[in-house]
Amino acid sequence: MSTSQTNWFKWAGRGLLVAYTLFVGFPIYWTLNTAFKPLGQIGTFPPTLYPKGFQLDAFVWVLSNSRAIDAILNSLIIATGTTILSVILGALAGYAFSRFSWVDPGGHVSFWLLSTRMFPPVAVVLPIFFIYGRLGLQDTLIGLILLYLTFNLPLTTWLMRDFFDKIPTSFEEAAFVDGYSRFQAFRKVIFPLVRPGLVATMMLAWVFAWNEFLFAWIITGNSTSTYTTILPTLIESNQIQWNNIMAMATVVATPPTLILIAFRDNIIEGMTLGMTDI
Amino acid sequence: MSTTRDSLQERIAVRIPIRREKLAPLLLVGPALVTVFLVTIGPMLWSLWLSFNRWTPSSIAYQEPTFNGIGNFAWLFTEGRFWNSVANFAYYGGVGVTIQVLLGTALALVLYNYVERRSVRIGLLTLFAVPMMIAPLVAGRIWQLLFLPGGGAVNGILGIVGSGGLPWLQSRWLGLTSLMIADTWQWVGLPLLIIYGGRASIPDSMYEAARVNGASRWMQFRRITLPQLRTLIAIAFILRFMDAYKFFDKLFIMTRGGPGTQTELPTFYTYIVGFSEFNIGRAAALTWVIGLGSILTMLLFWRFMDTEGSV
Repeated sequence: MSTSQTNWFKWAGRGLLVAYTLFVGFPIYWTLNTAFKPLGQIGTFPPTLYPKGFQLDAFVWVLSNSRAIDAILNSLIIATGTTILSVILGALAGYAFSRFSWVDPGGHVSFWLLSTRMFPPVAVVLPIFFIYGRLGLQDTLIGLILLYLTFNLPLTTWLMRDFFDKIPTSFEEAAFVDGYSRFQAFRKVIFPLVRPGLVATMMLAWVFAWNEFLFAWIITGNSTSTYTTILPTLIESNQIQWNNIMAMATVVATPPTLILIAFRDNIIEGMTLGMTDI
Repeated sequence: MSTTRDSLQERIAVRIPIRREKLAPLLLVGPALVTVFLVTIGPMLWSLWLSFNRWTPSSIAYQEPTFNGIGNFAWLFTEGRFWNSVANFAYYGGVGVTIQVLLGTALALVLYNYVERRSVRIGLLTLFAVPMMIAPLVAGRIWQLLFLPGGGAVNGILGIVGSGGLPWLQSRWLGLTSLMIADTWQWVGLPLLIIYGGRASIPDSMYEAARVNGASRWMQFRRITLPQLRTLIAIAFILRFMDAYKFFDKLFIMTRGGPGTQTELPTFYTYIVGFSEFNIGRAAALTWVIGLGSILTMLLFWRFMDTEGSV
């Protein structure tokens, strides 16, 4: 193949990459642009490409609006609670799946566990709604914390198994030879090595719970509404306060974005269910 | 227990207890499996039973579920609104998922082959992962703003370029396409990251060997890159299809199934039957049809891969 042809291909590819980068970047920019604008500059033609008279009113509105603050706090409690539970249970099971192959013959049990995530969530929340009605768990924080285990526990188990698998069994065997018990070997040898993976798993479980909408929309009521459940109704006023909504979007999207930047490699590995190691 | 390292007998003696560890793994796995049974499997089995019952528990006149055989499924297959959501799914899933996976694959290969600086590659991969970290509902809100018919940024840009702009969320196909664009924005990163990881793990020596034998770039792509990535591309398809079956949040915020019921997708329609019409038996039947459809899709992809791989 001639070099000019290869060059043409290379520059076409790079062009695609630039176009896609703009496509990804523009909505993020527009969110910030709208959040910092006065309402009068939103929805005009031609669009105001940057805020004229940069203002923080929308952010002040979010941080002083008790409904928004309560919802963000509820999301925080629920996401943190479910993360702690799912990581403890998932790490224990993941360790057993990784180290005792007879519990997980051919990887079938752990794969079966992961595959429960493939059923549409509405299949779970439909019966749960009525079960929670009987148990008095509707509109409670603990109800949603438990419900979020349906998608987070299979994820944490799968990822922790993957992270444990990366540590050679010879490390533990060496520890046994040195007279360590299995628990001591875990605490002194395996745990320090698996800690970065454990942290990434926690962060991912937290982000998935933080971002969830359908379960929260159906199970929560006024006293436990999460930030995702108040976003659809923020529209209710004569004129849509897009700057307030986008300020809210910026506030709630910041923690997951910071998590991605801080734990980049392991988060990317976790997002792809352990397939990608950059 | 002795900690002497010298004697072989002692080493063996220390290792024996490992084989006796039968109870511990069960205690470790047990809590997770019991939890999954309580919060997922159990409720779903109850919903399977409900799918063969008529149950419309309104708050005014509560009634117990009554058995009605395959009545809910029979209703489903004659219900136009259901088939409308299936047709939308075929468009949304068939076109949308294919675009996402092909675009992701192309971008991953360009990024790996044609961007020399590692820091730029890592920076772009991180940027492409940002939309995945944002709540789908928030992403839907952002795209709702961008797609506003008058004064939205998309039509604003089209206007500057000199085109009239489009009524983005106002009709069936344009509405579905808008959802597709928003979803592509959020999720191309997933196939992209999967394929990028796969490409990075193909050893350079394979390409060197091919070059020594005079293989062209196209032949290298055809004979090395593609076969090596086939499994991962299929996995990317499967993962995106699973999500298409679940698609809810963006639809809920961007079109609410409208105009009318025209842009409804199966999961959204289930939500309407279950939580708006409170026809629980029918909704349960719907969830099982969607669930089986999603499992069937996965099996088809695996089969396709197996037959392709054996050539």
